[in-house]
Amino acid sequence: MDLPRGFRRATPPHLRDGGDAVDDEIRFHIESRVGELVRGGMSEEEARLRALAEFGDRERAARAARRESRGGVVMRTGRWMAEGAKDVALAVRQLRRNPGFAVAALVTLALGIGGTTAVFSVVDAVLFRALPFPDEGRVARIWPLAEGGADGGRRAWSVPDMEDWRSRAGSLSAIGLYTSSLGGLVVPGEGTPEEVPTVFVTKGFFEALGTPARIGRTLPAEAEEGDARVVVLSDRYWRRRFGADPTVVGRTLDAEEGAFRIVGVMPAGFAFPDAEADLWTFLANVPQESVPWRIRQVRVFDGVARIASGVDPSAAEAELAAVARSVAADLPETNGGLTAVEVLPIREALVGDVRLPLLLVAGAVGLTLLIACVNVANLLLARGTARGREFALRAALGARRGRLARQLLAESLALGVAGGALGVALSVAMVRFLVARSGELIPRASGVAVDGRVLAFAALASVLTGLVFGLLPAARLARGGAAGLHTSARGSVSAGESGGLRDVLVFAEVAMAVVLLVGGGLLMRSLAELRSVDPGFDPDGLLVADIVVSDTRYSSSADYLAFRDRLLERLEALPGVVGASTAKQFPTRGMGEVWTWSRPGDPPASAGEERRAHGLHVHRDFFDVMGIPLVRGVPPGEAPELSLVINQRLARDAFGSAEAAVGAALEVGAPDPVPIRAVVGDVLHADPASPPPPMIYIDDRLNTRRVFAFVVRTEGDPLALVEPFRGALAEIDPQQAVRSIYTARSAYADAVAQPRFFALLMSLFAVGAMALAAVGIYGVIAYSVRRRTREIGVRIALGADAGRVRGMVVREALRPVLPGVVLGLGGAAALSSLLSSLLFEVTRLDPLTYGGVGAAVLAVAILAAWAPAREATRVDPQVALRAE
Amino acid sequence: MEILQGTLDVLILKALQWGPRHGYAVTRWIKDTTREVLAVEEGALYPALHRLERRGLVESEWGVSENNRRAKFYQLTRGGRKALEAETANWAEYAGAVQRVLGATGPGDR
Repeated sequence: MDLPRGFRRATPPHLRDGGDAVDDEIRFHIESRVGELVRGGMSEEEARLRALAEFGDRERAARAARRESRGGVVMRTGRWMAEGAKDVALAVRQLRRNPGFAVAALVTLALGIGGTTAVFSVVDAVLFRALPFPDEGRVARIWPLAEGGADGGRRAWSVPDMEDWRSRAGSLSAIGLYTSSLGGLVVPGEGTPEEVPTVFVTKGFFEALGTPARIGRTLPAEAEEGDARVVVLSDRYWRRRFGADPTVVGRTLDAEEGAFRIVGVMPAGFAFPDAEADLWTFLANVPQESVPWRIRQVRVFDGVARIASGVDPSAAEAELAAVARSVAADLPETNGGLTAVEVLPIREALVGDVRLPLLLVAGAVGLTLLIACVNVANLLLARGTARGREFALRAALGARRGRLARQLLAESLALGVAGGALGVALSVAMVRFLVARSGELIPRASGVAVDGRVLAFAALASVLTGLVFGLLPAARLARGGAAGLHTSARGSVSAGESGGLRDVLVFAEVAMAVVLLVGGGLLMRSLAELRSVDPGFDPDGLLVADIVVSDTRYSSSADYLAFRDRLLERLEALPGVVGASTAKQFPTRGMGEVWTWSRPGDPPASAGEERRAHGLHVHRDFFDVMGIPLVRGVPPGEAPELSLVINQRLARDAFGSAEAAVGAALEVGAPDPVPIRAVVGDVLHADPASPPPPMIYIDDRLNTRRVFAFVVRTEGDPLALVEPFRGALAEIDPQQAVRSIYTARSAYADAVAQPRFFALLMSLFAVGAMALAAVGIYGVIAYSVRRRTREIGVRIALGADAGRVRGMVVREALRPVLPGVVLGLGGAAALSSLLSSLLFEVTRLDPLTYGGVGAAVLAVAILAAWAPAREATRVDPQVALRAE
Repeated sequence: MEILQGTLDVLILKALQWGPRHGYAVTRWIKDTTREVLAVEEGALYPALHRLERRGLVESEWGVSENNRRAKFYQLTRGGRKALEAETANWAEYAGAVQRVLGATGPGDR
């Protein structure tokens, strides 16, 4: 009795197997008996009745047999595994016999899985892995917000403001400020002293983050009021400077600024606020003359806070907004405009910017892997059909269809796992490359490594890949059965069902490759636009050195200026140097201070709503050396002692035009309005995609700080100037440290580094995908041509023109490609909205890119089909006719 | 005559001693070799074969019979061969003992 099909499908395999097989066994037995009786002279009918009677209760026997085989799962599993091992061994042998195929498949898979693993390790480290802050959901960056200000939005903190908040905000268990923009402690080393990047913090900073020290402790809150000369080391600095000495706690760090007691070392993963921080100490160590941080209006600090446990984050945000309003109400003159607050979870703050590009890259690499799978599936299908005869024979000999399919699957898995192993090796190299090139672009990049999680992912990817591309041929085999294979094994002329499936795969490949290419193309064009933006000065041949003049050996403005002038003199005497000057900061690295301004006679603006511009102290030759054009105005000699230079943007904002600005004046916090002597061209901020900010330049003699960015223009390569620069500095003061020295080009390149990195990555995957698709197309066409050798030979023998035959082959190649391109372009257009936030000056439906990609893909497809097409026409008709 | 269950197992093992056979061939062989004295109860044969397979004494594979039909062939595993040897020795000893008892001609015979 045959069980209904549905029931059969629902029963578990080992039972189902037993059911079918047992019935078959018994049927064979009966038939054999019938045959024997018939040979003995009985009629068929009689024989059958007799045989059935002899056997007895078939159903009971079948049930009993099935019951017997149901037991012993362990035995069955053991046998199953032994069979599986045999399958794998056979698979490996098969692969070794077809090295060409095996290599092609392995390389494709290694690239696909390797790339995917590498990208996953980056995505995992940056986006998913736990941050070093306990209960990180409660840690947040916070900013006071000035609603309705001219450039409404985030403001920085001042210490008195923060102290008010601390006492009023019950929903926060800690709040603290920090800054890494004050340079660092100068520590004598071998040779010149070194300025170690230092983060100055208030109490509450470490409490908010919550990360415990690896050795010793974090900064003790009580010390802020008392002896604040305590310091915490970063893991990196501890290893570098103290040789990872475990007894470092209690020792002293001798800096120019004083002797600091080391109280602890942070763990390796802790890099807050950025990867450069090496020391943390109290802001209290910064003298008021340097930064008057006790003054409420000195708002230059960043804030971090921890929401108290048990408090809902949205309730906390509401309470903080109320606190903002109450402080603004209490102190209308100083805090009137700061009526709101922004609370951003720390994870978002650290990786938010880079999440979208990373996910896009992950998507791209996923697509590439898919294309790789499709290629290998195509390869397998081709081989499957080629091995049709082998399988037909085995099926005829009684091998179960499932067993054959299982063997094909074993081959695919073996391929997948081998490809995966190669891919992992490749990914280690890729990850190293990615981390080296990306630098600080990718936050937390130091945590990126091919470790356990990543390996597990790679293993999963390999197995899944193997299943995905193996399932198709295996399923076809299992479904079609021996019959299906048998006919195709005869090598018949028609492309048949197999050809249609392969066309679909090529169609899919092409579509995906087009999507990737359009994405990569748009990003590359955007990058080109970014790089072509005029920075507002001439970046070539310019060397920049940031120097913080020591305040132990120099104590007054006059001293700082004297030092500066002596160094400038030395620098201008160096061979090849065309000019040298200074500013407080180099424009792309920092834009100086933030000043508020107004025109004389403007109504007073409330606190937080003032108009703002960046203020930069510059040497008189600065504009010349930088190559910033003078738009309008008078040279420094002809202007009053106290005068300003502003940029075009500010001139337009304040006065409407450069002409109107020259001679006018601005209120900038000096007793009287200060006249404007000149208007210069705009200079870009760090991000070329943002418009240039309004700038006020002031002669640094008027208000000298001890921070200088020396800019030196040279006729030759600025890098060659680094040693001479250090030499010149050493001649004047061998004890003076240089904070950093770099070329203007590299500083400017850093600004586009993130878009460049992602555009390059995307394009890499796109080109890889295209190459894979091309190989796939070539493979499909070559294979189909080979199978149609006979047909082609016949055509040629009948007098067909070689050119027309070629044309026919190429047209067949394009059959799936053309719709693939169309679908790909459409898909890209739909998906491009994901990209639009990353594009600069390029629309997401940019016709040049789309058209270019479409044409390029068609061209590649034709090229890929060309070689086999030419092969086809070279076929000797006689050979072809004889061929099978 | 009916075959006791335990005996059927060892007879099947013996039937497979010289190579793989399908279930019907086993039945035939036993019938022929015992000159039709012992008839295998066909309803018990297949459960016995499956039980032997579960115990790892035989293994099976589908193949093609002498008249080109699909049939399941059984063959001895190494364990099966060992079991057959052991059972044969046991049986000989047992049969010998029974024979001596039944062959006694008097109560005091030993």
